[in-house]
Amino acid sequence: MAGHAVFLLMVGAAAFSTPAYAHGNADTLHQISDGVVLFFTALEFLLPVLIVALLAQPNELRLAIIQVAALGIGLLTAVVGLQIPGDPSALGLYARGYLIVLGLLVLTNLRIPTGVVLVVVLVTGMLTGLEAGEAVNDDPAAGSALIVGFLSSAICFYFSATLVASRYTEGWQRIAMRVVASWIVAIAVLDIAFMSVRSG
Amino acid sequence: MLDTDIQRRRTGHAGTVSCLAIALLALCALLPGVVLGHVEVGISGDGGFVSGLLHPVTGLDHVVAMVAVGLWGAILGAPAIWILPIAFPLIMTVGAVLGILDFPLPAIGIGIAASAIFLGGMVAANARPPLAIAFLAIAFFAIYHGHPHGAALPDFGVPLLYAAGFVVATGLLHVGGIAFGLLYRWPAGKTAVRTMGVGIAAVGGYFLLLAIGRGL
Repeated sequence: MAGHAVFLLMVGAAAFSTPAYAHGNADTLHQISDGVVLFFTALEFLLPVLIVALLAQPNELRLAIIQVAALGIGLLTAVVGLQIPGDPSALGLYARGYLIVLGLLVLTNLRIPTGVVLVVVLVTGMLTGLEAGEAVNDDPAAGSALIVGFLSSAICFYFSATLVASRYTEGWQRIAMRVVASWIVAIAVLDIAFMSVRSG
Repeated sequence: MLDTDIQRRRTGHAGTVSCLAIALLALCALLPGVVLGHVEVGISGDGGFVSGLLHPVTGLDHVVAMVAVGLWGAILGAPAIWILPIAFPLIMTVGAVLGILDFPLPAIGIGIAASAIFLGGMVAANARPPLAIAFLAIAFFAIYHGHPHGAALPDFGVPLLYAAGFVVATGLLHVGGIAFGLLYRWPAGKTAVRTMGVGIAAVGGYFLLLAIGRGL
């Protein structure tokens, strides 16, 4: 069932581009493509997706839904010009901090109350969205088509990754997921150190 | 009845594999053109992913020690087989952070060479200490392996991608060691693994002499 859903999502992702290309002009096409590129070429967007997918229990799409919704809200919030209080450059630090928290949740396999997990996923989604919004704002020529491209690829990847990862229930498969989670934690820690040094 | 059950399991497994293969192929089809076509910084060897990926594999002393971690984990069996390869990159990250922060660590070259000698020796000797002892040994040497990676961070490029390449390469070296170490369950494989341990210790000895010669 989940495998079929993954396949259909991939077909949907492929089919999505056709109506977009048919009805948009060349600029729209480029902006949609740039939105897809923005998502797929930035680890700061891909890693939160992957870690939430690893966190999801079998047959549970709730986390992905919450994260996608939070990502969209965060992105639109940044696009309309709202920012988190304090130093804007600290956004990456916060985002990577929550990535570490999520990674440790997967790694330690602790039984955390569902509400806490949902809040962490929600905040992570918001921070990821705000980061994406900043990236969108960096391109003044970017229009709504770029956001459409970004969000559509994010949705496809979120659900695909969650569906695939939640199928892995065997012992060794869960261990492999914890290994990957440890790698993500290590990457996030290193990035925080790099950012701290570079910001002086 | 049993045949039917086995058949059902095989069919289910094949279905899982095919679905995963489809998803991976679709992703592969999406990624290369996008990535290569639009990203100018960060993917190639410019302080990005490939730089990070290549950094752990370009030093033979690093490579053999990390493979030895996987080999030793495979010899120790569960849970060490997965705890050690998880612990090593995580603690290595701590060492890398110390390197990024320019925290001085004495005799780095000697420490790295000593790790290869120690880990290779453990594999060759079929040593099975308690997990806590193995963990502490791994943790100590992981700091030494991480420090130069952090200190060598390029001033340009994309730090997140560099970090990802560095961590993934390290993890894959462990996985390679584990894969080879799984041969240990067969008599011929046991000989091969222990011989490899001897080789790793010998490489470590060579680098130790080099490090002492350079005063590192």
